[in-house]
Order: sequence, then structure tokens, then C-alpha cells
Amino acid sequence: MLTPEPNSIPTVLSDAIHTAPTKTFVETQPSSLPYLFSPSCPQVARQFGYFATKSAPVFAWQHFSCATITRKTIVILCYPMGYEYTHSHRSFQHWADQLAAIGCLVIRFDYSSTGDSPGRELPDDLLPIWLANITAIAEQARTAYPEHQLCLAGLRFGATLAYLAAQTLQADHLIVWEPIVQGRRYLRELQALAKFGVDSEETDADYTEFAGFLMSHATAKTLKTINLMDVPLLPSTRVLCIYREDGNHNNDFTNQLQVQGIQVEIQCQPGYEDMLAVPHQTLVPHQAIAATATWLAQGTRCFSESSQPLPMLSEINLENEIQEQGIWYDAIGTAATSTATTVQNDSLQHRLFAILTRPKTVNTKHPLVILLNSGAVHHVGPNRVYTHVARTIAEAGLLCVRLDIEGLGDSFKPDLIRENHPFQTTTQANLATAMDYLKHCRLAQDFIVGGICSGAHAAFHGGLSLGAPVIREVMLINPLVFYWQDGMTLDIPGDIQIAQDSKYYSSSMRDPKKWLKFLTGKASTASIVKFIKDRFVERARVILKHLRESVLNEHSPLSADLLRITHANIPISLLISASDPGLELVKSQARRTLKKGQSSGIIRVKTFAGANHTFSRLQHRNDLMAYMHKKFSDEYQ
Amino acid sequence: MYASTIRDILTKHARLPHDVNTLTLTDDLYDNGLTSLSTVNIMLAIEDAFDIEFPDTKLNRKTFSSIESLVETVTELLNR
Repeated sequence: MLTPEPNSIPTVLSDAIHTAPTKTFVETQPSSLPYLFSPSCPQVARQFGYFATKSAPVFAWQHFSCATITRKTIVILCYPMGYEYTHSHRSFQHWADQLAAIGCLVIRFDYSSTGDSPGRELPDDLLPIWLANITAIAEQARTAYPEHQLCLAGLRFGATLAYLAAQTLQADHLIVWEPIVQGRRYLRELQALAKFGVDSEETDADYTEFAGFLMSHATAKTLKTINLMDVPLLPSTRVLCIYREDGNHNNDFTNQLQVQGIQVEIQCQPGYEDMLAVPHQTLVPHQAIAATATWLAQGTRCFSESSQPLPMLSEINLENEIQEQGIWYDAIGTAATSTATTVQNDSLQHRLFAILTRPKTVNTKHPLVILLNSGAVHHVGPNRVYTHVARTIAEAGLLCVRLDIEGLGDSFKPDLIRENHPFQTTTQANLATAMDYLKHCRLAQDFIVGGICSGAHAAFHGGLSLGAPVIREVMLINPLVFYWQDGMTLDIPGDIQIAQDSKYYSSSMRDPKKWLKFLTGKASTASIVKFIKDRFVERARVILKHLRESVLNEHSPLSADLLRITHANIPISLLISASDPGLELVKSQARRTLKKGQSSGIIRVKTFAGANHTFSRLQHRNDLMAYMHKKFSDEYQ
Repeated sequence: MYASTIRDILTKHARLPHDVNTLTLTDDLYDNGLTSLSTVNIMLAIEDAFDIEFPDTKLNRKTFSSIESLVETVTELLNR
């Protein structure tokens, strides 16, 4: 193992290389962690780490003002759950920044068994654990700052948890945004979502899957019993209820609060649906966020002091002796010892964030696996797949980093207009920066790059632009586009739509119900005719391409680029869900290259039966993990 | 009779790439871009608008597959 240069490597990383991996959590003072300055609030710094809680540590961010302003108020933001967590992640960053900008110390965190925090979604009842998470963080905050006020704030089910915790913690302020008042009704919503899924099926499993997220029956049972109408708050708690401008909210809940003598303000604010749109379409509800900041400012006093973040753990131990920590991957050459009081806007301005998962023993001769953002979802990946993949790879003995590319997840881009775009222009530069940093830390010399969907696009181009020897393998999971260009739609491209339609219609041919629909005139004849026409044109185009490839040795851009990668002796793994068109896409543009590559073993294709584009079902995620574990164990042990 | 209200709800919550008013009563909403997430919002909006609750047996893609099917279901639930 190589020796790092002690002055240029964050302590936590050099410790990891030199010390036994079985140590307990490393307590690191905030002064040793670098900061990120918010793009929208330049005086607000962000810092990541882990808070110890009763069950296990939870991954968290603290947002605080570097100006000499404090309201002596700690805000704990409570995420919603399931897909609403993934979709609102971006808005929560902005929300935390805005509340920090008025002088609050703001904490947002992933509940146990969600996001980047340790734990599995099944089979425990997670609700008491999540409430204990909030309580543990609040208690640490009160211990550090006994004179500070406590504000709990949450969205949807996060608002429900905030409310429940506010009751026991006797919070001073509470912001509930579209709260779930009755657990029973919310559970019905989730169950409906599970049934509306395209691959919905009845099972006798002891959990429910909704839009890729899991809920144990134990959690569902507790959820069903929640009714905020039965839970009184202390009259001293100020409450702000935010409802969607376009929705019909039920006044019973707020009336009940008022009957209890609680000072409650009700506001209807725009932006709710856009905040929870699919990740690449989300819009931050700035007006609503500003309203919460104004309300909180009205109920707190301003002091001329600077805010200091709470101490956090910098890394954690997970199951099977693997460890995890956040990193700034643009941190080469910056000192990691500046204190909050010395932080200036022109120093330590890290922008690029990632999570490193490390096996028990690090072998720097092994490549390090880099996972690139899938769509506009932050580094946990769709349905938390990347978190599981990273930990599985570490269990198999390799280091894994799940990156946030500039403008995505917790990495930010000065140009806010392009924030949250799945295809960032800086992707390859960011990837190269990450590799430089990881090499600088002596964690690896070469890399396997991979990702799902747009992550596969980034990995493919990483293989092309960075090449051998730095790239050891390219792992493309469900690619949909190989050549993204500005101006292209983020909806499914036309040729892929045809491939998807082909799969749909070929399965429909075997379905008697679809025939009945067709024969009774209920099927859309126009759609079928359009499909046949498009399919015919596409087939003719593909045949022409094959002829050129085999007779004239003429290559399509994809065929030529696959050859460029494989001629550099970089293997390509194509991991394709059976219902996804990725393989069809490669076959249509580079059939001969694919065939030859498969024969020589440099291109490997693995198809996952029954899986969809984002591996949204547990069984298929487990299949992917089993494949990853076997692949990396076999190849590197 | 209820088609107009349902079209309004679809316009507001379905997030379809096309104008809802160009869809016929029998057009397949899922073929026209309706997602499972939007279906839940539509379900809640219809329940609020008509003061009904979809029973478990109606919570499936078939119920929400077309305006016609939604009108039939709402009519059935209101006549119970």
C-alpha cells in the first residue's frame, strides 16, 4: 500500500489507509471539515457528516451563516419519505440555505435506512426509529446550545414526523408543509401508488413496494395508527401550516390546533406540485420557502454572533466491516484545518461532493468503482440503488464512490439555470477531477466507471475521453442515449420509443386481453398504425446500417466508439433490464461490433429478467446486487 | 355528465404532454403519458371534487385508463 502525503490528504482518508478498519466511529470536530458555500446564498456554508443516534448514525448536512448573524435557533428539516424524498431533495437544499441565511443553524438528514444513512428498509418498523433520529439530533443540538430555540420543519410525512417530535421535544416553532394528518389515508395513497405501477402485482410478501420504495408491514401498521388530531401540542409552540395553493385543504387539523390555544398561521403557497415533479423537472418553490423564512424571522430575535455547526462524525462503520464517508472531490491541495471563524468566501469553496464506501481492507491495486448520477437524482440513485450497489461492491472488496456531478445532488453549480439537468456539460471534467483527487489520496490508480441511464452515458464518454490505463472498465446500466446534445428532449428519444413500443406490442401479441381490446375496437388504432409505420422505417434504416457495417466495413458512430474503447483493451459491461431498450439500441447501431465483442469477451452483456429501467422492484434490485457481488468478488479476489 | 370536471382535474394534475381537451373519451391516458405518480394525484383530486372514495377494487390502472372509465366509475360511486 502506498503512503499518502500527510499535508494534502484529509485526515479521515489518511486514517483510513493507515489504521485498522475495525475502529469505532471517528469523532471529528467541525473545524477539520471543509465547507461548501451555497450558490444561492453566498454567506451560507454547508457541511456534511453523521450524527450519532440510538440505532445508528445518520447522514446529515448542516447549513449555517458565516456572517456575524444568529437567531439562536436550530432548525431540523424533516424529509418526506419514498419518492417524495428523492424528488424534493433539491428544494430542501434551497430551503435549508434560506433559513440559514436569516441566521438559523439548519440540519437536514436522511432517516435511518433511507438515502445515505445506514440500514435496510426491511423488516423493522421504521417510524419509531425515525422519530428517535429527530430526537437524538435535537438533544445533541440542545446540549451544544442550551440557550437556542428549536424549530422542527417538514414536508408531507416529514411534517407528520416533525409534528410528533415537536410534541415530545416541546419545540418552540413548527413548520408543517402539506402534513399527513391521518396515517390511514396516507397509507391508502401509497397502496394506490403501488397498484398503479405498470408492473404492479399482488404478492404475499410482508412489505409493500410503491414507486420503487419499500415499506414493511410493521411500518405500515404503525403508520395506520397515526392521527395528528389525537396528538396535542404545547400551547407555547408557534405553528406555520403551509398548504398548496391549488389544493383543497381540510381545516379540521388547523381548527383543532387553534382550539388548543396554539398560535397557528395558515398560508397557501404555490409550487408544491413542481417541487415534487420527477427530479429533472422539479422547480424550487422559492416563494413558499421565503414565506417560511419570514415567518421564522418574525418569531425569533437576531444576535450579532456567528453560527457554529454541531460536531459530527466524519465517517461511519457499516455492516460487514465496510466504512463510508462524504468527500469533497475537488479538495486537492486545500488545507483541511481551517476553522469556521477563518472561513472566507475565497477559500475552501468546494463544490463537488461524493460518498466513498470502503471495504475492510483497501487494496490500491484494485480499481475503484465510480457511480455517476442517474438522471437528476442525487448520489443515492433511483430507489436508493446506488447506495446498495456501493455497499455491495465494498463488501466484494473494492472501493466505490458515488459522485454528484456539478449541478446535481449535493454538488452545486454557480450557474443555477442549469441546476438539475441530467446531462451536465462539465460531467467529463468533473469525472477527471474526481479521479485526480482519488489518485492523489492514493486510493486507486485506475477506475471502473458506471451508471444507470444518463450515468451510463457519462460512463461511456468517460471511457472514450479518459481511456486506458486510467479506465479499467466501463459499466453501462440501462443506457438510453449514447450521444446527448443540447436541445434534445429529456423525454424518451424517438428511436428508443420505437424499441420500447416494439417490446410493448410483442408482449401484447401474446396477451388475450389486448386482443379482445383490439377486436372490440377499444384499442387505439391510430397508435398501432403509427407504430407499424415508424417500425417499418426504423427497420429499413437498421438493415441499411448493418449492410454498410458488414459489406463496406462502415461504422456508425456508436460502433466506432465501442471499437475505440475495446481496442484500448477496456472491457464494456452492458447490464440491461429485460424490459429496457438499451440492448436493442446497441444492436440496431452496432450489431457486428457487439457480436464480435461478445465473442472475444471484451463486451459482456447481462440481461435482468423482469427488471425495469430503474430496478424499481426489490427482487430485481437483489438480482443486480447478487450480480455485482459475484462479478467483483470473482474478478478481484 | 362528469367528463368536464374530470378533464379539468386531468389538466391540473395529469402532467400530460398533450392538451387534455384533444383526447377522446376512450383514449388511453397511460399511452398518452399518464404516470403512476400522477394517477395518485388524480385519484385524490377526484375524491375531493366528488366527495367519494375509490374502493380498493377500483384502485387499478384500468379505472384510470380513460376519461370514459373514470366517468363510469364516478357515476357508479355516486349512485351507490
